[in-house]
Amino acid sequence: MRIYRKEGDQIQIIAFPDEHIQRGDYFLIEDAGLGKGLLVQVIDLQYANVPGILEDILRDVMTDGELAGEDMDPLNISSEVDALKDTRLAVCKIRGTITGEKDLSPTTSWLPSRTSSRIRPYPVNRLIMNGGKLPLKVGYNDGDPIQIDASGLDGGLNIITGRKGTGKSHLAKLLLLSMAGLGAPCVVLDVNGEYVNLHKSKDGRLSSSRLTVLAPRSGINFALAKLGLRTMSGVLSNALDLPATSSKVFSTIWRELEARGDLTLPSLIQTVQSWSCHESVREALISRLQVLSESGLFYDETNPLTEEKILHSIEGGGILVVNLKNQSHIVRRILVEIFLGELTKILSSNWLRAAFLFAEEAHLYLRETYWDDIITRMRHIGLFTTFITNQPDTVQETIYRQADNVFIFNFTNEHDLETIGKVAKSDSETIRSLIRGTPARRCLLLGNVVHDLPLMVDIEQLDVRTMGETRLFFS
Amino acid sequence: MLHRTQEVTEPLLQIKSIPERLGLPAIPDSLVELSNRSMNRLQGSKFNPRPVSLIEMGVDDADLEERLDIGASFAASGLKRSPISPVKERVPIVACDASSVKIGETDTGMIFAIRAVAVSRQTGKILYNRWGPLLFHVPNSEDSRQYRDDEARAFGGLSLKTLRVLTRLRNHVERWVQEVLSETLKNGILLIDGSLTAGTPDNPAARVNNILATARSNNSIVIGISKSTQLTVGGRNILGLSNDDSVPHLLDITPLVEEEYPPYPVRFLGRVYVAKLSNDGFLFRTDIDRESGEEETRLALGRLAGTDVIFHGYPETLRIAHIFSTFTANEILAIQRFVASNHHITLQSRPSIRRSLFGPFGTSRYVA
Repeated sequence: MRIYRKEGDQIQIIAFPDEHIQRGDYFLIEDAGLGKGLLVQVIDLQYANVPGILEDILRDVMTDGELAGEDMDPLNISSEVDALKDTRLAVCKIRGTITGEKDLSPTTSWLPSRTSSRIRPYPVNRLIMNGGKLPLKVGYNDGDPIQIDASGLDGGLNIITGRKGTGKSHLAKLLLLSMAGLGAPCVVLDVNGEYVNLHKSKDGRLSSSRLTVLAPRSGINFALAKLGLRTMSGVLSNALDLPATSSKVFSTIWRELEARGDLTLPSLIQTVQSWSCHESVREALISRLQVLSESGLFYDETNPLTEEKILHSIEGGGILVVNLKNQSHIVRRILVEIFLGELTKILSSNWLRAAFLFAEEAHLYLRETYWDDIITRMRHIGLFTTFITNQPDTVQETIYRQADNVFIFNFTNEHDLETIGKVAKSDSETIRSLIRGTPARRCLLLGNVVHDLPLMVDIEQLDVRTMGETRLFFS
Repeated sequence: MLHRTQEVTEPLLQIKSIPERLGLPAIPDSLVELSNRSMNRLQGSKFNPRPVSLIEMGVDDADLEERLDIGASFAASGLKRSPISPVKERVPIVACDASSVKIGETDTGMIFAIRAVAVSRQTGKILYNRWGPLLFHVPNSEDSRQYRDDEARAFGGLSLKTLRVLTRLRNHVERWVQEVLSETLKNGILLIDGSLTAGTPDNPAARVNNILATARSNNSIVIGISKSTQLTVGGRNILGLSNDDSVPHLLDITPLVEEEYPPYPVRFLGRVYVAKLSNDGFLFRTDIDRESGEEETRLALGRLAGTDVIFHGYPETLRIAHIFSTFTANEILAIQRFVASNHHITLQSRPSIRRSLFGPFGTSRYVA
């Protein structure tokens, strides 16, 4: 390999066909004279498109049809010509300077010698783990195992995105199981019921993972008194769009019933019906309370799901799956509102130091204002969210800009590529080049977990039932 | 992709059928051995590769055509002009060409590559045979002592003393191909690139005579077509003598040539014509075996015009032979890489004095 030229933060390298090189690979351009090397990453591979190649190819085309013959080439020089035709031009981004064995600095203000530098593949995984104490194996890079330091996921905002069927949920499950294995409390908002069998291996054996699956009428049963006025007001206002005036009346009624010790949904409905208020307020309240009543979330208020139970299910490394499958849009919003309220209470009370929330297709159940809440307030009380989506434009731009880690699978649509190009952790050119044409299960890792060195990883296989109980026709 | 200027009447299947090989012999061992010996002496030396412009297409360090001026006293008028009528009688047509190119310089000499091609047009198909490239390290004159006499004899007593050796080498390879083809071609037309002029040390007349005689004995005819010529009549290039007639025709200028030039040492082994082979074509100097009669000559050109595709007046079979023998810029780069990796020599780019002195001025390859 030889340096061809440098333009901006890119270096172009000429590579012959017998030299192994692929998109995403890291190379160190070592200048022995200067005692340092330039770390570069291949973001695109092209043919070394020298103009003269056209004539060679045209000659080859001539022999494809009615022209045929024999080459008596005793020195086998034609193989050299073929090698030249297949010579590649690797477009590389400069990632930093390495001095010594592992000392990476972002300095790029020097140039290695074009004639005497040695270009060799660089095992970037040694920079990524770099003394980390919580190894989490995510997969392989060109056959070499890749571990990230799980602490890179701590305190951050993560995004997993990619086209449908490319492996987003698979990676989310891998991260979930690994994090729980390291003792992290995890909560999953599961839209498609994909996470309910995470504790079972493919052949049906139960694993050591602590998994709790909750669904309406199956473990999820709330009591108004336990939830409290703040959470319920939030549900009515944010999930059910109760106007502010009605919300004030609701608070008054709530306090009255609380004082009487009769805070149940039927008594709340009954009280609203007889309460002295404007008819429109009454109608607004009754209609919303009816929705709550029919949601199946308050069917037995004598044995409710409490903060303690939630805490117990995730404390010390458990996974709580909130199964939102087959639930209406309204019920999903109510559930998410309640769970986020409960988690906020748990974290604010310091019963837990932190919790990791995995939110699949959050646009289906998360109100607009929660996006800001998640990246500001909730992050500070210790709720660290991972968004998983195949529609990158449903995640707000501010989320991309503030994401600490981004895991990107294949995209081909220009609009999607443009959206994820806004990730602050890398330049859009790198993302566009590396993502295009990647196979399923291959993921581009960006952010803290890879020390801002974009890395392509073939995600590790999992011996768990990764699919939910999907009903199939051709099975 | 070939440019077609005439109707192809053969059924498609026949055209597309997988052609058999030409079945021509391999490069003579003596030639391969000489190439190997000359190159093996390079081990460990320094190599200054020829700068190649990749925008430049085919590269061929061909010799200039012989410069012959017939003199002002002979008027061009009165020359006999005969029409050429394309004959729809298909005959085998075989064409050959050879190219040489400088690959680079060493401390002791230069490295050249030579390649030869034969192309055969048969009913509905075109076959080619390509020999080489062969590499030769031709030493500067002071180093020639290291070559043994038997190596020199391999080229009919050629002396490896000067850079003219290259011309001899290429002529030798080209003549060898012509010999092979004259022996194998029956009842056909053998097209060669260039004239049938011989009699110089680089181009012995006996060998060309032998090729013509062998072809004749196989009922074939040899036609030499020159892409350019320095042959002039009264200071005027012969190709400008007659192009006002749009129909294919033939202008015999042999009498002018014979009267102007002594028969020795340079010998015109063919009759010299200016020929226009198609309505839209250019004029070409065309040499045809002197032993062929006038009628036979016209018939041969008629058959050529009727059988081969005539591309701007030039036979396509010969055109393909030329294209296939010429080195592309990338082939030169590939050969340079081969030399560097197989002969363990160090690449060393010498500064270009012309470029250093004149910058962008005077560096054109068209400047002598």
